[in-house]
Amino acid sequence: MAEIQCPNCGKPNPDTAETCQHCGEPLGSGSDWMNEIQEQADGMAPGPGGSSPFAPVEPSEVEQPAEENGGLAEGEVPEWLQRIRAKQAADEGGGDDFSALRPGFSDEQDQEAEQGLETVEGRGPVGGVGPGGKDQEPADRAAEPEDIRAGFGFGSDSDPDYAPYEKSAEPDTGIPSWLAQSDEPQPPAGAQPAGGTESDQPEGGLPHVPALLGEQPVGLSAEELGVPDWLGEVEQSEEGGEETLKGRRPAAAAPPDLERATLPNWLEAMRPVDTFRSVVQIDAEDDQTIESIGPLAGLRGVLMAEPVVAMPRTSTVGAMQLEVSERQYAQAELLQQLITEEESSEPAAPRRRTRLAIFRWAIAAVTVVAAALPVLTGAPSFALPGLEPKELGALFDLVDRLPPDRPALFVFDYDPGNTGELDAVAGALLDQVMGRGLPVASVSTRPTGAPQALYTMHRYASRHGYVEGSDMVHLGYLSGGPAAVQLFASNPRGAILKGFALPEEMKSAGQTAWDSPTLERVSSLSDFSIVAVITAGSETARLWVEQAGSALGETPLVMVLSAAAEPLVRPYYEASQPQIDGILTGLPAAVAYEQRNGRFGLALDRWNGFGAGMLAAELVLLAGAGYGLVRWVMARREA
Amino acid sequence: MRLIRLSAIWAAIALGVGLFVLLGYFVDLEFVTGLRILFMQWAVLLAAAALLVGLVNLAAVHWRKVSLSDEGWLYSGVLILALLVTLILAVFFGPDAPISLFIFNNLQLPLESSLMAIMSVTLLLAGFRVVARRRDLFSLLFLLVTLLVLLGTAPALGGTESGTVASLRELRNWISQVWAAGGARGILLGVALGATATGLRVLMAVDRPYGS
Repeated sequence: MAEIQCPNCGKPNPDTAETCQHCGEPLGSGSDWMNEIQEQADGMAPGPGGSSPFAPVEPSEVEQPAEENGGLAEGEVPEWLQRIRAKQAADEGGGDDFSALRPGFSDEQDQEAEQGLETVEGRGPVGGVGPGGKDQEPADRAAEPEDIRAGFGFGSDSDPDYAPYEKSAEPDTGIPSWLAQSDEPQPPAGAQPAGGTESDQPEGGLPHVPALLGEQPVGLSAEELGVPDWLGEVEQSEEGGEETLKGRRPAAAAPPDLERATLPNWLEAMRPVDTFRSVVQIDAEDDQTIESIGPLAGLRGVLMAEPVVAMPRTSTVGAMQLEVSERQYAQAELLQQLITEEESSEPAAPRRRTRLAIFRWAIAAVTVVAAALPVLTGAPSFALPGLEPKELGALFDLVDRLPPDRPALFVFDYDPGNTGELDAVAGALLDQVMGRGLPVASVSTRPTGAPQALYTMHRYASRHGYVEGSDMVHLGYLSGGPAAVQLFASNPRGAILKGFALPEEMKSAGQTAWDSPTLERVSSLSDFSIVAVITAGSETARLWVEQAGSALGETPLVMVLSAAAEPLVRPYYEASQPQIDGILTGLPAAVAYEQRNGRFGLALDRWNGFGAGMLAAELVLLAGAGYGLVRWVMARREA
Repeated sequence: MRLIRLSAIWAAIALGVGLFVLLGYFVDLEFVTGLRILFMQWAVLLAAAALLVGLVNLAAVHWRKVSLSDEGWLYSGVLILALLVTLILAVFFGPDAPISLFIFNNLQLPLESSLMAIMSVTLLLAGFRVVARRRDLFSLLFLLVTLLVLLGTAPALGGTESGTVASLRELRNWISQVWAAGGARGILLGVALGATATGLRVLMAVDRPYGS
């Protein structure tokens, strides 16, 4: 019954076992994945040599491709490879003398190298990474460089001292003599290390460089080591051929047994790749400085960081300035803004204060109630003005002296919004004029003036029995602004051609306002007995004063104004040479005028409401002042 | 070259018309007066045409707001509807027809009077806020002047015209006829000077509102 030796523990197992009975390691022949690979390999077509791609490589097969494919010319093959080939040729020829291939090596050194190789071969199958992927034992690894060194010609199978390491005569130290010699700082005289000639090495060269070349890492390919492809192939073939010659399993997959002289990861990461010094000058160990700072503090002989840091060189900061257009910059800004907005939390919307417009509604309510209360209830009642404006008597006397055969002209130049005030003020004057029986005519420079005049005059016309067309007439709208007033003052009949709201008999007869009995004797502005301008704006008053004043002649010009327009119109009246002959302003003056006239009209009707509204306004303002004072005092107390 | 000639023609026309109208104030010649009246009639016709142009422009602006559904387009629609109704009624029945007078007496007059009433309330509210929130010298001055003018204008309570009430009326008249009238005269003087300067600049073709 055949036995299978465990690649892990080396103990024998039955050939039917799939795993090791001692350590449980899967045996190579029984692994599923190995079987699958083997089946695939069996199914594949044989290679050029008629063998499977996974078949052991024979030395002849290794050399054959190089020769057949042209490989390397004889002169291009490195010296160390030539020595290997010579060694193989000597093996095939049974010769043991490799001294010719190893100039500079003494026989003792050769023997010790051979001893090291024998040590590796004598411990059975070459270890390494087994099927299970486990590493080899450290003791096995210790012999691995020697194996490689043997491949470079430092040892021979035919040496008489070739023996396993366990059987060596120097077991006490655990270090073979050849390894002790290799640790010496200076190589043997005349020895030419593999990997280069003596001239390639710097003066005082690195003693460990050849060893590093020989210490190929376990399982690392030639590409990973930076070895050319052709060299990697040759090395694998060489090793396989050597093992084959020794009747052992090919060691192509067998890694070296020595631990790789690796640097710590952090140190390897810090290793300068492109050093700024082409030649590294390594001082003696005693002369090397000890790193004082950084992660390498306390270590000797490390590369100095100061030259790299402090060496003057071109700063990379600012060397890369992007050429950005305005549009790209704007887009970048927009992107940044978007990101910022996404990152920033949106503040909660402040809770909107449900604020009632209390003051607004309260003031409106107070005003409306105050104005409506006297009309609805008759209270409160305000005393009639005991004093009248000083100009009121002059105006009253002026109207009282007007000739009764000449019509009075009323200019209604105010908007319907001012009807509440100006209807009452104008009504007082109109009532006096109509009371005297003067013919009345109206005109307006506003589109709404004509119906406004009709509306206002109708109230007093009915009171005094005035008839449209005979006692009063409406000229209507005088369009054109100042030019129209100028034209009307110069030629009234040319400025207004038809009239407004004429009686049907006049319309049917084709008559105009100038054909009415009221205006039949009027051809200029001076033909009127009086011109009364009813307006709420100082501009209109100024317009009539300036444009029509020169055409009035002896006809008096009277202004019926709202209280707001009084300050700007009064200078025309109070001048040394007045341009206005009379002025009637505001509701109090209208009430006083009605009192003087002896007939009450709209002014008196609105007197109590006017008084209550004014009183409410005063109270509201006082309340506002008090409220502000209270807030100020409270704010000071809180402060 | 052509532009210079045209501008010179326009300036000559404006200068001639202005001088003739101005001359009519000082020279009592029938030719000059007749020509001045003719120019004034043209001006009135142009002003009436300008009023129509303004009316069309107003309608177009609000029609654009309605067609684009801008903010407040509903009000613009009401304005256009009222304009069309009033215009059609006035054109067909006349501006002094009963229906036109009805629209004025029952729509326009109350609406504009109500707007004036709202304005009085708004002004009163503004005064309240001024005296309630601003605590400085000007708000105090505003409060005092307003109270004095109101007290001097408003009817006296109690049915009496006491000496205090008479004093308030005199104080009110002093404020209105001295301080306010003094400021108004200054304004009127400035307006008169400005109008005179503007008229002279137009007559001398320095200002050319008709185009250069």
